[in-house]
Amino acid sequence: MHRREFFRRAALGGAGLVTARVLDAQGTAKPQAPATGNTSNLFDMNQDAAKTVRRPARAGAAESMDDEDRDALVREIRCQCGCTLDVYICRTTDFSCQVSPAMHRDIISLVEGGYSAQEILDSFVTTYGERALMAPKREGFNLTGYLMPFAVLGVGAVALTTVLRRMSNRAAPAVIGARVVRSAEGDATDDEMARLNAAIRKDE
Amino acid sequence: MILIGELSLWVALLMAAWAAITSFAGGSLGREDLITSGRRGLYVTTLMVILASVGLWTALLSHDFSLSYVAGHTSANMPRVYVFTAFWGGQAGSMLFWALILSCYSSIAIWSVREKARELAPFACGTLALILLFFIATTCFKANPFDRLAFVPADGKGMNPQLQNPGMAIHPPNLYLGYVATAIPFAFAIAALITRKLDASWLLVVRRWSLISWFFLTVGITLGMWWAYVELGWSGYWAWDPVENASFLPWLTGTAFLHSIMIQEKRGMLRKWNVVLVVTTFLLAIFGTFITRSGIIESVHSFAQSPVGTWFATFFFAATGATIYFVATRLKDLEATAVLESMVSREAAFLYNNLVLVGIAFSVLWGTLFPILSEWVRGSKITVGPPFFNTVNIPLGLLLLALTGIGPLIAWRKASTSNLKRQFIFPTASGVVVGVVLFALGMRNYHALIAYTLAGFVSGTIGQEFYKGIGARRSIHGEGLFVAVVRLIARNRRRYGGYIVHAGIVILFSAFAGLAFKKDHDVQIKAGETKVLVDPLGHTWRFVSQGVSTSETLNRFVTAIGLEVFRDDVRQGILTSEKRQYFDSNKQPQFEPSTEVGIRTSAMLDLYVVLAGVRDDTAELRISFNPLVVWVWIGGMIMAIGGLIVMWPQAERRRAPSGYVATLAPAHELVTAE
Amino acid sequence: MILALVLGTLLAVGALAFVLYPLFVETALAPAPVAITATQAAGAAEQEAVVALREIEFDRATGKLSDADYGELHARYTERALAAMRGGVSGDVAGDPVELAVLAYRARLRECGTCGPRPEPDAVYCSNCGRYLPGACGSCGSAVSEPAAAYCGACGRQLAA
Repeated sequence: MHRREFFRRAALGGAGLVTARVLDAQGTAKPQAPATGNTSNLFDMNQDAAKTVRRPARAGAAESMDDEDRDALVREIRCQCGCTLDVYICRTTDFSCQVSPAMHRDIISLVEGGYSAQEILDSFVTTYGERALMAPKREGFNLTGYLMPFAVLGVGAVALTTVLRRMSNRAAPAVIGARVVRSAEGDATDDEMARLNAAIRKDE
Repeated sequence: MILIGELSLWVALLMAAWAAITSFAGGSLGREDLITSGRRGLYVTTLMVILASVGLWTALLSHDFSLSYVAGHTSANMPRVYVFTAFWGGQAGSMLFWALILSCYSSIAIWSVREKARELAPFACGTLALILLFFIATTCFKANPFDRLAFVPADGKGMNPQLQNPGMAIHPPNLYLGYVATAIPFAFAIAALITRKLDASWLLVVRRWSLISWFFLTVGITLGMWWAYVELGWSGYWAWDPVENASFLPWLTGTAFLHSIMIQEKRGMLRKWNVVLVVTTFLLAIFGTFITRSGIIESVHSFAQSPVGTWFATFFFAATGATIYFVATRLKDLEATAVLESMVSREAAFLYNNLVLVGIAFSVLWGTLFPILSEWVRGSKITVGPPFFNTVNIPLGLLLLALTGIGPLIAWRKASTSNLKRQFIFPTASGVVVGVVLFALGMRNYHALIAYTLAGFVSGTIGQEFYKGIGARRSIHGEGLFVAVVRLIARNRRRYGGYIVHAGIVILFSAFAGLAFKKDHDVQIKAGETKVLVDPLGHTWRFVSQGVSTSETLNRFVTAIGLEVFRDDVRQGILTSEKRQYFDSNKQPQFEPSTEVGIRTSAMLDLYVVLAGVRDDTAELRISFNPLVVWVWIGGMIMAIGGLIVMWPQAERRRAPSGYVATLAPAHELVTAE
Repeated sequence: MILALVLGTLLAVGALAFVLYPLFVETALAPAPVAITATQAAGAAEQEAVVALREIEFDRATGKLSDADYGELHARYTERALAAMRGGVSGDVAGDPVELAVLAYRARLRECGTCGPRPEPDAVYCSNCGRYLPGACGSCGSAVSEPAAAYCGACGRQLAA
C-alpha cells in the first residue's frame, strides 16, 4: 500500500500540483480529502480486486515450466491492487497486499495444471481484461503503440536527410569554385606577426 | 508574519498582473516608462512571493496548526528539517514553492539582461509575469496554503515516514528548480517570436538557463532514482512510471537544445529549430506536471475532478495555443544565415543526434499517453509498463549512445575522408576490442553486448579527444602535462565539460546494461536455516537466517530479519532487512508498512534483500543480485560535475562571443566582393 | 494582528509607489551606458580575434577543422587581429557579407549622446530627450551628421537603410 502512497507523494514531490488521483483497478473514483496524502490511504488500494482465475488441471498434468520461467511469467502479469507493479515484485515487497498473493496462487495452480505460459496469460486477460498484462500484446491496434516511435523516427530521419541533401546540394556549386584563400600575412610586418603569435600562444 | 505572508500573496497576484500588462504594453508601444514599471512590478512580485514563503515557513516551524496545510503535513514531534521541507511536501505548498522559484529566476534573468536585450526583455518579462500570475492565482484561489481550519487541532497529522528521508528532502526541490528554469528560455523564445528578432544576448540567456534547468533535472532525476532504489524495495530505480517520465521528457528536449545551440552559435543555422525546442521543453515540463497530478494517465475520468488539474489543463492548452500561433505566424522570420556544406559534417551529426533525442522524447510521451489513446480507440484499458518502454527505448538509446561517440569526431562544415580515418580508427578499435573480449568471456545477451561495445567506442572517442586536446595545448602553448590538462578543461569548459557529461552517460548506459543480468530470488527461510544462491557472476552466496526479531520503538513496530552472509564461503557480515509499521499515539497504525531494504553494495553487484513479511515462523524474502547499480549513482554524479564545469562562469576577457564563427562565405560571393 | 495588517498595508503601498514611480517621474530611467572609446573597441576586437585564432589553432590540432577551412578562417581572423592592432576596422569586413550585415545593422542602431542606445532603428531624433541621433558610416566609421544623408561624406559609400 505504501506504493500507492509513494506515487501520490512522488507526484506531489516531483512537481507538486494536484494530489495524484489514481483510480483503483475498477475505475471507480473514491472521494478523498484534498491534499491529505499522509493519512492512511488504504482506500486508494483495492484489496478486493483479486478474482479467481482457475482452470481444471489437465489429465496427467505435470508442471508446465520450471521456477525460473514461472517467475518470468509472473512478472508479465500486473497486480490489480493499484500498485502499478507486477505480481512478482508486489508480492515479494509487501505482504499487506491481498491481491498479488492471490494472483500468484492462481498462476502456480495453472502451471501445476499443465497450462502453457500463453494459455495462462490468456486466461488472466479473459478474467481481468488487458490490464492484467504489464505491456500490451503485440497485435492489432497495440502494434501502433510499438511501431509508432520507430515510424516517427524513420520519417524524421528521411525528412532530415532530404532537407540536408537539398541544403548541401545548394551549397555545393559555390564550394567547388576555387576557394579564395587570401594571405593575410601579406602586408604584415614581422614585428606585427610576432606580436600576434605571442598573443595567441600566451594563454595564462 | 503569517498574516503578512498571506497578504503578500494577494499583493503578488496584483503585481504579477500589473507586470504582465505593462511589460507587453510598454514593449509594443516602445514606452520606456511602462517597461520600467513592468520590470519593477516583477521585482516586487518576487519580493512578495518571498514574503509569503517566509510566512508559510514561519507557520510550519512554529507549528501553527490552525493552518490546514500545517496541520495536514506536519506534526509537533517531527524532526525540524522535515518540517522545513514540508513546505513543498503538499499540493498548496508546492504551488507556492513553484511560484517562489519562478519569481526568483525571473527577476534574476530579467535583471541580468536589462541593459543588453532591450527589445526582447519587455516581452520576456511580460511572458514570465503571465506564467507567474497563473501560479500565484492557482495558489490563491485553488490551493491556498494559508487556508485556516475551523478549529485548532492539538497536533498535526505528520509526514509519511518514507518521505522523511534525505533523498526525498532534496530530490523534489531539485526537480522543481529544473522544471521551473525551462520557463526562462521559453519566455525569451516567445519574446523572439513576438519581436521577430534574435540576438547574441538571446543566445546567452537562453543557453545559460537551459543549462541550469538541465543541471537540476539531472541531479533531481538521479536522486529520485536513488531514493526509489533504497527506500521502496522494488530492487529497481526506474519503472517508467508517468511521474518519472514527466521529469525525463524536458530533460531529453533540453539536452537536444544544448547540442543544437552550438550549431547556432558557430554557424548561425537552426534558429527556428532551437526556438521550437525551447518552447517544447517548457510545454513538456508543464504537460508532465499536469498529467501526473491530474491522474489523467490512470484514468481519463478522474481528470475533471481536481480543480487544480482543470486550471492546469486550461493553462497548458492556452500556452500551447499561443505558442503554436506565434510559431506558425512568425517562425519564418527567424531565417538562418548559413547553409550546410556537407552531409558528413558535425552540423549534420548534431542534427541526427537531435532527431534521436526528440525521437526518444516522443516515444516516452507516446508510451505514457498510449493507454488513453487505446481506451479512446478500442474502449479497453491496457497497461503500458516497463516491458513496453524497454522494447521501444533500448534500440533508440543505443542509437543515441552511438551518436555520442560519432558527433565529437567529425569536423565542422565538411569532414574529409582522411580526417575521418584519422579520427575514427582508435575509438572504433576500442569498441571492437571491448565487444570481442566480452563475447569471448561468454556474454551472449546481445543488447548488453552492443551496449558495451558502444560504450567502449564512446570511451575511445572521449579519451582520444582529451589526448589530442592535451597534445594540442602542449604544442601550441608549450605547457607541461599537468598545466595542459587543467587549462584544457578550464579554457574549453563547454567542450570538455560536455565530454565529462558524455563519460557519465557512458557509465550510466553500462550500468543500465548490467540490469540484463539481474537476478531475483523468492526465498522462504526459517530461523537457523541456510539458503544457497548463485549470483550472475558465478559466485556462490550462502545465507544463514539469524531469525526474525520484533521490537517496538517510540513510534513504530519493527520486524527485522538478520542474515549472516557468506560469499564463496567467506563471511561478509550480517545483513538486516526490516519492515516497519508506524503508529500514532493511540497505537493506531499510521501510513502503510514501509520497507527498510538490506543493501550490500560493491563495484560489480548489489546484494538487495527485502523482507516481504513473516508467516508463522517463516520469513518471506526477496533476495536480488543487481549488477553494477552503484555505477548509476556514480554516472549521475559525473554528469552533474560535467554540467557544473560547463555552467561555471568564465572570465569576461576570455569569452569571445562564440570563439570563431565558421560562417565561411560561399566562394562566388567572395569573388564578386573583391 | 493589527500590527500585521498595518505592516501589510504599508508594504502594499510601498510596492505600489515603487512600481508606479517610473510612470510619473521621467528621470528615473536607467543611466546611459558608459560610452566606449575607439581604443577600447579596438582592444576588444583584437582580444576577440586572438581568442578566435587560439580556438582555430586548437580545433585544427584536434581534428575539428579541415585544412582548407583552417586556412580560410586563420587568414580571416589574422587579418582582423592585425587590423585591430593597428587601431582600425578590419579590412576583411569588405569581403564578408555577414560582417557587412552586422555593420549595417549596427549603423542603423541609433545611439543618443545622453540617453544611450535607442530601440527604434528609424528614429532621427531621440524619443526620450529629443536630441538628434547621429549615425556612423558602416564602411569607414566616420560620423554622418546630416539626418537624410544617402552617402557617407568621408568615403562615399552608400549608407544602409
